[in-house]
Amino acid sequence: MKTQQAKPARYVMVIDVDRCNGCGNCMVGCAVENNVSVPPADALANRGLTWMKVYRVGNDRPFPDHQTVCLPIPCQHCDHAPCIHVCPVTAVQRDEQTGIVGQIPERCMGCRYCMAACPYHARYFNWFTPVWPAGMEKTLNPDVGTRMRGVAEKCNFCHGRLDRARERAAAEGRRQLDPGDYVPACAEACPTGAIRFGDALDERSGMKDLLAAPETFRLLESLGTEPKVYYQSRHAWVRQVGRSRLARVRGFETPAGEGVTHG
Amino acid sequence: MSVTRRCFLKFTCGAAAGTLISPLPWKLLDDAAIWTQNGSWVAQTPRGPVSSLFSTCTLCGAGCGLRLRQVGSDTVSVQGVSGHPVSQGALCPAGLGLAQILHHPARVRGAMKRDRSATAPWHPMDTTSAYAEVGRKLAELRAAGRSGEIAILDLRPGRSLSVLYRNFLATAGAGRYLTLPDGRQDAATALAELAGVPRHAPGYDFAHAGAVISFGAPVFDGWCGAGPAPGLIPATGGTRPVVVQASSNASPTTNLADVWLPLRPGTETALALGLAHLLRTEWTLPFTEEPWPGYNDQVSQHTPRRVADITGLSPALLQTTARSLSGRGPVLAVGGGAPGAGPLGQAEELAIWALNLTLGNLGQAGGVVFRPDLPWSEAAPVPGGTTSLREVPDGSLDLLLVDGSLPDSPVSQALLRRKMRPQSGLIVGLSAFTVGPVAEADLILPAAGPGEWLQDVTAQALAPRTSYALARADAGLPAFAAHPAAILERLARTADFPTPASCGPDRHEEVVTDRLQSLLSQGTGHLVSPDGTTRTPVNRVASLRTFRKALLAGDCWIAPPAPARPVDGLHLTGGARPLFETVAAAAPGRLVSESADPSACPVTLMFDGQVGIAGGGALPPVVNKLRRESNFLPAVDAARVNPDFARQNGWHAGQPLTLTTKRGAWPVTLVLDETVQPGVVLLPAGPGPTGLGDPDDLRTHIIDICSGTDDPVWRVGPAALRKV
Amino acid sequence: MRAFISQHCGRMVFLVGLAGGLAAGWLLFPQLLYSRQAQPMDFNHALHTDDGGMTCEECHPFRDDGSFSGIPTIDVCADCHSDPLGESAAEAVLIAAYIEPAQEVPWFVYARQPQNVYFSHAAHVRLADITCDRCHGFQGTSTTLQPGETNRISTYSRHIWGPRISGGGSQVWDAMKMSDCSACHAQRGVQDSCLMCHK
Repeated sequence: MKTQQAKPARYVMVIDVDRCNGCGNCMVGCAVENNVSVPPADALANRGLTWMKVYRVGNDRPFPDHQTVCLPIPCQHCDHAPCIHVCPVTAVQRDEQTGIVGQIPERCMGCRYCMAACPYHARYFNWFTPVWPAGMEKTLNPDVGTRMRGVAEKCNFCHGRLDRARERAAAEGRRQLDPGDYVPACAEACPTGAIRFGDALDERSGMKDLLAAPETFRLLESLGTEPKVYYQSRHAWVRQVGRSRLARVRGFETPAGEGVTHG
Repeated sequence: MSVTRRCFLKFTCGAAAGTLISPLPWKLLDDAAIWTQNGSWVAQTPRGPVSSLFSTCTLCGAGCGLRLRQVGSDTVSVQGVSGHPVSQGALCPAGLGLAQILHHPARVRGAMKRDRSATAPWHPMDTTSAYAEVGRKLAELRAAGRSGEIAILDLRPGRSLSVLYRNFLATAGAGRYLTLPDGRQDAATALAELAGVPRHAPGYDFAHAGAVISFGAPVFDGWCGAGPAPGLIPATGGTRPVVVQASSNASPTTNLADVWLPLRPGTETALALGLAHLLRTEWTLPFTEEPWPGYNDQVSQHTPRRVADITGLSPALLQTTARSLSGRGPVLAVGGGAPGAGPLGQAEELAIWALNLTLGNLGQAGGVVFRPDLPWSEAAPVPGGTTSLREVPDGSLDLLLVDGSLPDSPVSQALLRRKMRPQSGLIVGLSAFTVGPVAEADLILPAAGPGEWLQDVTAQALAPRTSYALARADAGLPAFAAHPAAILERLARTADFPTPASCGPDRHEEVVTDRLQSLLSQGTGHLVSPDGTTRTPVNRVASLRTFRKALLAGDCWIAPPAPARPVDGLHLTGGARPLFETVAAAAPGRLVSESADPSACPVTLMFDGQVGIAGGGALPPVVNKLRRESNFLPAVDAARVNPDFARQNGWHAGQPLTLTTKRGAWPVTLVLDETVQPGVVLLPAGPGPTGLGDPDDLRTHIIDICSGTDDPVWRVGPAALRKV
Repeated sequence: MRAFISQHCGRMVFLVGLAGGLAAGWLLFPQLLYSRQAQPMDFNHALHTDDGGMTCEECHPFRDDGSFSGIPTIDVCADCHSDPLGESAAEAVLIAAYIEPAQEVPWFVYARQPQNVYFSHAAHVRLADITCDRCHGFQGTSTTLQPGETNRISTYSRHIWGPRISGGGSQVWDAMKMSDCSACHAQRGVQDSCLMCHK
């Protein structure tokens, strides 16, 4: 007996760079939602786990014509993801039903080939055994698994929230999710509404208009990764930086501005 | 028949073959692999039904609405509530990590004593002995008639706990109730006094403004939690007021504003006077009654040319600004300072308020509205008086109890110490953490943390609507921590004060109940649900019990909108120094030209920091982790300077330098940052890398190193940078 | 006879070893691998469903948010059993040791999956219209509770792997490994993805 399933979805995220004020709420909300552990205090900065990371880009002009924008960069959930191509154990897979590129910690064997392949530096590795201070285990989110040392991890568009939304819909007898049922933690935490999220195949979500807007662009489009995270800015220089090179993005360098470092 | 080696080998091979054909080795391997993923080193997530509760955040004065996600009865995570009448869904990084903060490594689990000579300064102490020590000192001071040397520093006046603090001081005799200067509160208090509108508090009505001119206030990032002021970021397709941001350095607000005025540091007064001049010329606004004698002359003197000389902004830019502000509806001039940069200063606030008067927006929608105070706002006077900490004479306190709230702006630890008697002065923290305002205390009595005791939350200074909410005690009170009122009562009993129960937890409950009753009796305002959708008029609330239950469920009481009550003039209530002089003195700019160290490069020292973080209190571990791993907060010893300025002085990125002020010298690392004005050094306010407040950490002394005087304006100060 | 033995000594030793290995692997190993524990008290499902006339969902309901409540908490039992309804020893234990001191009964959950697995009862019961007995078998009509068996190494319940040491069982409730779930999904044409069942 064939089971009826919901219509396929294509979840996209649209980030309005002009609204982002660099507060870091998205990073904190993501870390709390996804049980991201805290590495030891003396760990190197590039050994960290920041599934959502806010970078800064400047327009290379001197004060006071200088302008800085903030770019929150999560996993871009590429349709042609380099990480999927290179993983030797199929620890990452794109879900045809939702478009979400899912990282499975149980399968990962820690070769980090995916981290090298990702052009957005959006993948992170558990260099250390996650250790939770006494009592903090009670604050872990039951909807998200915990990872152990030696596996890679990355943003999953808060898939645990998708599961909860589906359950809620099932309780109401619905197979189809409504817009707003499923919102990742970063989008919910953003105080300015810069991060929007929705199903591009659902007319009601409003994503289609956002994707078609002239100020919408994607990072490193020329690589052909077909990311599902879109950015918007009315400043042409921001769109130019995003399309071509990310080396000018502050944060892809060391904090003292001394060149490019790779995680 | 003997057993030979060959037999043995054959037996073993047979056994091995048999084992291999059986599931034993394969299942063992499989299970061992599973064991590695399920062992004790893998954290177990909690199990249980998931539910949501609403509450209010008490980490800073903003009072953002919270949705607590609970698994079973444990709070697992915290989110903002979109549509919340006070916070509009905003929360800050510290608030988002609220569930974790109660398990912070610096959590105080028993009385702590400070040993300055040791590398790890805090040592556990027997709690009973700690109470005995403090109680003894209290009793001695009271017996010797020196109860005026007992003081409590309340970091969040206006709570029910504040009433208990005052009761404690009254039962001690003539104890002093101290508050700390806070940019927004100071601005609000000053305006309320000058406008002569008793029992009303001023608020900025951003939502109805047509244009906003902000003097360094973070109106786009950090006005409401980490978010913008309401109405400044519209829903898709909506419009928002034109925003002009006057700020020496670039910031997220200058990026999002329509016009950025990169004025020289400390020249806000001149700018405010200059804009008043331009707007009168542009709009030919009638000359209103002078807020103070000589104001009109001051304004006339501040022509665009003169203001350009002082502020470094071109006359053309000033003209453009004036033009962009006009013709759009009500114009609102915003002061109040910023959490990480500190208060603006009295002169600046006066000039801004006079500008608002000139714009005719005082008491009007879209301008500065005067909202009615809460019914209990006129507090009973404390026998020892209410003072700002800065006005307390040095060396005049022997026992200071420091409240454990997280301050909005950094608290100068050196300032606290200066107010104490040199040898015998004792600072006691009533805190849940060893960091924050109690970093320099001598003793800490373990207090309940956020969410472990019922608090009440009033509207933040300069908010447009008066509000009242309760922050529920969703986490149980741990055995090692005490309700702050219980600490007060125990101290009062130990010291044999006459009425210890007047400052205990039962009295706290009574105060909260009295407050609820007075709101109910007043009969105005609405009970608004956390998502802002349901509004019940207060006069239709059935009983006190229903009212309390609603507030505990996350509803807020919101006062009706402030009625328009135009204010035509600012009234002098008398003061030590004529207002004209105050403004005139600051108009040429606050910068002192001579450097602290003539042999080094003179710079202007300024600070910045994000709301929720700049205050220097305990941060959730996740926020500290992110500051190490990303660039969203600068490194703790990062001295940010403009690249051109650095090049002129022969400095390069990452170079270690020494920063000198009149107070001393500190090592910093140079970071090149084009958002910083040439000539300025920008240091971050806030706690150290682990949030644990290392006593030698630059951050614990951050605002002590800037000003050499007790001027509450520490945002701008002279300094020097020297190569190591 | 002796000649036979001495001629084939090597082979016989080998065969004895082989038999020993097989016995250890197939017979002894399953005994040692699993630890048994009795349930804290006995529970008669049939008594509640047949005689009591209750359905599964009365004690094992779905919550409003669609999550499944699982094993009932003590207040569900206390709703009816605050006073004894019968004369069984199990009920006496229930009342004295659990209802009165308001303690949760530490039931052994046969079908407990590891924490990295996400299973939604709502998707299976509400959307796919699968009845309780399809996956949980005779549990609802049983008169007694089986002892719980835990794999000492992996800490999983025996019901995950199955009663046979070679793996698998004939019924759904006997085997709940990933391959068992995937087989049914494949049969029903469910589009799988890793994160659908993993966290």
